[in-house]
Amino acid sequence: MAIDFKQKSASFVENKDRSAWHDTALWFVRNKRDIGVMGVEYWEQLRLQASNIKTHCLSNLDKYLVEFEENALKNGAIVHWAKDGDEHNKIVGEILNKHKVTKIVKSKSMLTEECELNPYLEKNGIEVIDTDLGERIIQLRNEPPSHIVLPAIHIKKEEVSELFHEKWDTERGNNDPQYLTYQARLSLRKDFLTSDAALTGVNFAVAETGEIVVCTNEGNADMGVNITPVQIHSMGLEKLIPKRSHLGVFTRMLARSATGQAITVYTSHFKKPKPKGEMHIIIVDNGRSERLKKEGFWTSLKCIRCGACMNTCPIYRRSGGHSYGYTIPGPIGAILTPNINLEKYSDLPFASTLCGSCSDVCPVKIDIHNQLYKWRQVIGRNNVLPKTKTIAMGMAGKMLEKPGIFKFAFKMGRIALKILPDFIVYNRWNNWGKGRKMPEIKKK
Amino acid sequence: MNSKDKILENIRISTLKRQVDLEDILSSQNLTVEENSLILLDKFKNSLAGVSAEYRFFSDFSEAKDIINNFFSGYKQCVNMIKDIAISGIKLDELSSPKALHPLDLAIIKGEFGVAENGAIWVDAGKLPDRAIPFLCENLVVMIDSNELVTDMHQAYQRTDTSDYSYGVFITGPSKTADIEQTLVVGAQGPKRMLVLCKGYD
Ligand code: SF4
Repeated sequence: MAIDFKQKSASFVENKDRSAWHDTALWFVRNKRDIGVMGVEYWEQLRLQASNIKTHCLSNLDKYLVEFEENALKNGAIVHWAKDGDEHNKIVGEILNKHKVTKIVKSKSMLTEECELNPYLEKNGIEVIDTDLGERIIQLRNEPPSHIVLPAIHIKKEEVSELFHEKWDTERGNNDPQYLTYQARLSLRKDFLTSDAALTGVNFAVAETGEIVVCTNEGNADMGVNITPVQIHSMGLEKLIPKRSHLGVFTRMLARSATGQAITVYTSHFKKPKPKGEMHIIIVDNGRSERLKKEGFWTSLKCIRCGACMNTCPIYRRSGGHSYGYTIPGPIGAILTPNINLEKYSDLPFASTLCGSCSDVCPVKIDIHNQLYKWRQVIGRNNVLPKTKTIAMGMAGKMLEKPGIFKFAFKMGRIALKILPDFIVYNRWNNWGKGRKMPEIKKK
Repeated sequence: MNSKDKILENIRISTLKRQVDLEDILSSQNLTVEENSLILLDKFKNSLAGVSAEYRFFSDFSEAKDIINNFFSGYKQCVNMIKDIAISGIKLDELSSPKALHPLDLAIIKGEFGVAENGAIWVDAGKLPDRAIPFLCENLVVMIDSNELVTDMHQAYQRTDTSDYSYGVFITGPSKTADIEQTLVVGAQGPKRMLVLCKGYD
C-alpha cells in the first residue's frame, strides 16, 4: 500500500504541543550543528573534499571493494557478501548458529533496520538487545526509529519513565534523564555480560587497510565487541573510502553535522580480530548497485547518515519521522525510498517545500532538493502521482507557464509567511498548512 | 554466480561509464591550520573541558599516583597498565573472560597522543591485555605526554599511519548520551568519569 504522508503525519501534527516540542528539539540540534561547523576553518573545502572522495570512490567501487576484501582477509577477518537483506540475515543467523549463540548485543545500525534483522533472529530463537539507549527505548516500545541519529527523539521523558517502570520496575514518576539513563545502564550491563556475540554498523570501511570504523558516544559498540567472542560488522557497500587519510576529512565532519560535537566520544578502528575471537564483515548490496546506475540520483549513495538534513527540514521537524513510513525518514529518506518502490513511496518527494536547506547542510554535498524535484517528475511521468497532488500540480503547471505570475505568487508567498500570524496560515481552509507547518523564511 | 560476483558485475555497469581521474579529485589542499605548541596545549585543554573530561598535569609518577588516589578514593577493583605508577591492580592473566573484569572501578591506561581540535586521545587498545578494559571500567585514567599533541584529525591520521595496530580508538571524554529529550547525561554504557593525566607542565 502506498504511504499517505499527510494521513500518517496527521495525528502527530494535530497534537500541536507535541509537534511544536519536536520542532524545537530538532531546531536545537540544528543550532548546535551550526555552532560546531562555525568553529572549523575551511568547512566548505572540507565538504568539497568529502564529496569528491565519495564521487571518486563510487566511480571505482568495484575496484575498492575488492581491495577492501583482500586487506580485510589479510587482517584475519572473515568477509561475506549479501545481495539483499534476506541473504544478510541468513549469514548472521548462520554465524550465530555455528557458535550456538542465544543472545546478541547490537549497537546502532540503520542497515539492520533496513534488512529487518531483529524479527528474523527472534523468529529463530535468538534474543536481540539493542544497546544504544535511544534504540533500546524504541525496541522496548516495539517501534521503529524516527530519526537515524536520534532514534527516540519523538518520545518524551515522562513516557520513557513509564516504560522503564513497566519493564524494569524503576521508580514511578521519576522523569530525571540522568536517573533513567543509569537505570538503562544497569539493565544493559547485565545484557552485555550475558551475550555471546556482538553486531555493529559501520561508518567507514577503508579499502587501503581493510579496517572498519565505528563512531559512537555511549561506548556500547566497543563494549559489545570486546566483551563477546564473536563480532559481526554489517556494512552497506557505499560505506567504503579509498584511503586511511580520508578518515581525517570524514571524522571532522560527521559528528559536527550530526550533533555539533567536534567528534564522537569513541571513533573505533577495528582491524584484526581479538586473540581467540572471530571477526566477520558482511558487505550488503540490497539495491545499492541498482541505485548506482541511476543518472541524476546515484549521488545519494554518498550519504554518511549524519541526520543534518532531517534536523533542518521544516517538514520533518513538524511531522515526525514515523510519517515517512521508512527506516530512513526526512529529505534523504524521501530520495532513497522511490528507488525501492516508486509507487509505495510516491508521496514522499512531495513532503518538502524544496527550500534547499537540506542540501546546504549536507556534509557530502548531495543535491537533495534537486533530487526531490527530479523524483516528482519521474513520479509524474510514471502516472503514480498521489491524488491530492494532481490538482495542485495542475495549477502549478499553469503558473509555471507564465513566469511573471509565478514570480509574483512566490514573492507574495514569502511576504505573507513573514507577516501573517499563524491562524491565517494554519486555518482549516489551507490544506497545505493543515498537513504541514510552513517553513521559516530564510534570511537572504 | 555467487553474490560477490553478481554485486561486482552490477556495479561495473555504472563505474565503467563513470571514470573519474583520481589525481584530479584527490590532489586535495591541506586544510590543517598550523599552531604553535602553546596554543595547541591551550586548545587541547579547552577541548577536554568541552567533552566533560577532567585533566591534571604531573611531573613525577609519585605525584601522578597521589592525583589518582585523590580523584577516585575508595576504588576496589583496578587495572593499572602503567608500571611507573605504583598502584596495584588485579592480575589479568588469571581472568577467564573479559566478563570477569566486571565490576571494574578504575582503569589506568596509556594514550599515544592527543588532538587539539577536539580533545580526542589515540589509544592503541589492541595492545591491552584485554580490549574491554577502557569500556568496562567505571572510571578511566588516560596518561599522555603533553608534548604529544597534533592539531587536527588530518594530522592525527598521518601520525597513526605507520603504526600497526590491530584495534585503535580515539577516546574523547567519558561516555555520553542525550537520547532522552536531548539532555546530556555523562556516563552512558562506558566510563562515567575520565581523567587525563598530562605529563609535563601546564
Ligand atoms: S543526506 Fe547529507 S545531510 Fe542527510 S543524512 Fe546524508 S550526509 Fe547527512
